Amino acid sequence: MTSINSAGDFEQLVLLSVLRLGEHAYGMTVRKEIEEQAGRSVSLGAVYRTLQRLEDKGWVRSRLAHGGDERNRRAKRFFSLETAGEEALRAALDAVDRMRDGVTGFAYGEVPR
Amino acid sequence: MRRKPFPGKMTERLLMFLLRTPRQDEIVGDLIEEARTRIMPSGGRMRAHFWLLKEALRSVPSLFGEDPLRGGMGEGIGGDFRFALRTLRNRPLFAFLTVLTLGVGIGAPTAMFSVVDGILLKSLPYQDPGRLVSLWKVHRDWRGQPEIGERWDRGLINLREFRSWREGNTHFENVAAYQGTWRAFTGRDGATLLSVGEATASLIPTLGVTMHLGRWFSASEEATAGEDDSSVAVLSHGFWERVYGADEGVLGTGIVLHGQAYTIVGVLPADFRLRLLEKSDPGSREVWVPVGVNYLPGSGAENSGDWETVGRLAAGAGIESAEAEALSLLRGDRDPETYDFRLSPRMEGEARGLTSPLVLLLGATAVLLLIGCGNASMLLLGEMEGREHELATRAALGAGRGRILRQLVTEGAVLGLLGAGVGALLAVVGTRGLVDLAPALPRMDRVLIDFRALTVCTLLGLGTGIGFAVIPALLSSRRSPAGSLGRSARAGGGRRRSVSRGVVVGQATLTVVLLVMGGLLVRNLERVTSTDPGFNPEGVATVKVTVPLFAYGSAEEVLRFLEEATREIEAIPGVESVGAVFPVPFSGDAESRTMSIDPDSPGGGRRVEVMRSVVTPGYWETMGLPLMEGRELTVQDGRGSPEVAVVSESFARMHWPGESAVGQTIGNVGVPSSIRVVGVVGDVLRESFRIQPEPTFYVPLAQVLRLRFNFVARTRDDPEDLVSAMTVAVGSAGPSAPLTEGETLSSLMARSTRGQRFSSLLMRIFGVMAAILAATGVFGVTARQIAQSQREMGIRLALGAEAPGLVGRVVSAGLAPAGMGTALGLIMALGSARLLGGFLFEFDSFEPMVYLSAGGTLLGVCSLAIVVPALRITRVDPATVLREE
Repeated sequence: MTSINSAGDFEQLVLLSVLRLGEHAYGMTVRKEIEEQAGRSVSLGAVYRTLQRLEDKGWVRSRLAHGGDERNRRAKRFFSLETAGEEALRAALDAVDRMRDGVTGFAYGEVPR
Repeated sequence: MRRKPFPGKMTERLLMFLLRTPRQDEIVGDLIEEARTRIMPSGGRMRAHFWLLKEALRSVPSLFGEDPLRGGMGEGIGGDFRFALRTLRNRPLFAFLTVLTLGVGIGAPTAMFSVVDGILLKSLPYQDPGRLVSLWKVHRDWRGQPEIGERWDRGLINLREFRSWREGNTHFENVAAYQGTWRAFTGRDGATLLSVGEATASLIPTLGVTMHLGRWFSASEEATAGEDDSSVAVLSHGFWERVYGADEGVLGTGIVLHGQAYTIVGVLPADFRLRLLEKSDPGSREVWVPVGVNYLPGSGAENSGDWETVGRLAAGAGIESAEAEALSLLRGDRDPETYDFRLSPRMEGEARGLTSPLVLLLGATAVLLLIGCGNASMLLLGEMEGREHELATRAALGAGRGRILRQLVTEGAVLGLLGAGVGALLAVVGTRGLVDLAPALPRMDRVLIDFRALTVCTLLGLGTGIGFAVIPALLSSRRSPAGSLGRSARAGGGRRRSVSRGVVVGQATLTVVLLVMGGLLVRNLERVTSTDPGFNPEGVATVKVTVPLFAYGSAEEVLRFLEEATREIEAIPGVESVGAVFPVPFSGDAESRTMSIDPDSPGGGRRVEVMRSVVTPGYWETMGLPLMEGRELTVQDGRGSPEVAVVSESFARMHWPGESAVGQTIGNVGVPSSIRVVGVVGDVLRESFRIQPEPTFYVPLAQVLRLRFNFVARTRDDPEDLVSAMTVAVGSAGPSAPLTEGETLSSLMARSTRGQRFSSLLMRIFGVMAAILAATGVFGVTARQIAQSQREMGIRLALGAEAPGLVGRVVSAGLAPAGMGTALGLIMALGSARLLGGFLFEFDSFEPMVYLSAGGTLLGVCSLAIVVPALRITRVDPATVLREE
């Protein structure tokens, strides 16, 4: 069951990378972060699509900035988390933590066999 | 060497096209940045390019696909529908061809119509535009001359004439005048030239336009503008968005133009335009200011300037009596030998020029729709013929007539809907593509897919699908099942086969007409653009400059700037010669003057309207313009020395036939003046390839000071590089002189034909589409016939006929209707081309090569469409066929 107030799997990855990147979070870096940290190859389109959805839900906000020559002066859109986004992410991660709790071999901090 | 930009214009445009969403700019920016910073350093340009395209394509599905979280198509598709889909899946070739043909037939015309409608057919955004008229000055010398005559029929007037008209007329609710000009504006990116409109306060009330924000000028502001700091300005919607970020707080703030402060009082609506179709629409001006004190009644400026007019006829007032009145009001002012005035409805002027090519394209659109539907009907007819046996079997097994009909209708509807879907997709892609492909045609920015057209085309497609699925069934169900079954699945339906042949003939005819038209337009364009312009554009670059009076107080200062800038440009490595001129050929600028010929003769000489060019001595050398007689202008022809001019060959021929022009005099009208002609130069095309060289006189810039002109320079190297070097050079000579973008002369010239290039490109697309459709149809018919005549072929082969001979027979039988259509098409094309020739300038309707290649192309494509399925005959095994008997 997907709760309205909890982030989905890919949404979690996107939200986490926006958090990790802080003020450097824009389309290209978010995608790179997901690729490098989570080892998941995703298209830039999917990243933007998800960010758009998160923005529609009021979980992230975006801000437009001027781009430099390295991007042929095209605009740059930075993303950051809204409080609702942080809550949704926390709810999702807590759910995972609770589910992991006590499962042999998967509990948080337990060394896998 | 300058590094080539990455990823290049074409690729960047493609990326933007693929990722067209509200956030495309950021997405493309991200892709470029990543390609440049991560891929290119290790993999090089080539790999970076591929990476870009791959990533863009990979992004398309998630950007445009259904959002999986928001659900997809619902359930509940009827049984008939599923059954229809299943039967179609069993006949993939037929289904594919029919859907494709309907899709192209629906999509292409819809896209075309959307574009044509967006440019041409949408009415002007004015209140009651039928009552709007314009007052034109007619130059008698030019009346009746092709092309030039039409243009001179629409001569602009000066403010003095406008004021006489405004004060005296009784037929109008309101009249207004406006003209375009340029002003220096210092914004975030430094000094730029702004296109500015000057208008009377009556302009917006006359047109009946509602302001987007604030207000327009008042009559008192018109009288005092420029006098003190109380001047007001109105912004265009585009300028307001671009420069002020659509900030509503802009009202009441200031803007400085040419050193003069204005207060912004209003913003025009986004769709404000004064003319619909002109290249340089004065309505696209970025800022509007009132006429003001620069043109006070009785001042010299009142007599100059090119003002366009618009008046709103009072209810019940007739245009004829309004024109008679205008003539009597203005005749006292003017020499009736030279000038006349006339009124023309606003709408008439709008559509001129672009109409005929667009109407032609609209016609082509209808033809393509016809071919598409014809094709689909043919495929369906053939298919039904083949299914007679199946239908008879079903009827024999007890299926009612209604039941069978319902199934056929569903099948037709499914095909029609699929076709319409493909068509809608093609229409969307096509409309976008055309808009991207198109040159900056007026209003191109507002072209959207036209849903009326899509609806009509879709209904037609559906109608074709259902109609031609049902008609043959209606015919055949009259027969008894026994009859059909008894004949097994053998040949039959001769009547329908002749219908198919008729459709092939019709298609071939229309296709050939389209191919010929496309070919003729292309040929015509080639011939027109290969006209010798009279100068050599190779290696020549130009930059436009406007000297702001507020920064250069006196004529001497302006001339000093001119000399210094010329020296700076000469110092650029590779530059061979430098000059300055106004107007540059093919730039869209033009200037005419009323001059008197032999002003010292009794009566003050004959008055004529001629073109004027203001030049510096280096101009002719730079342009490679030959001197025919006398001498060129030199630096000695400066301020204070005797006034001199050089005339063009046609000028000399027209005004001093049989005499030498050198030593003759011309004069300005209204002031005592005598300008001696010192030389004759060759004629040049001034405005476009389509307008013949006009009589021109050249005067030195030092004697006739102008504040707006172009530098031209010739280089041994690449003129593209010269453009930027010239910009730098002029900028260093006069930092406060704003430049507009420079360009090479060759690209200026190419731009003048972009409208024609676009329409001939579209016609070629039409021709190719039509040929593909026609070939598809022929292929479908032939494939079906051959499949049906397997038995006959088998028997013939068994009786000793040779396979190659049989193939030959089939091919020639299939080609006969295509050949007939081609012949008919060539005749029809000849007729339509002559009709077209009446609309287009110097259009040669008879180009044998065009006709030959059009006919040849169609026959070639059709042969291929016949030969491929015909070769199947060689694989027929007589034994198998005979065993079936």
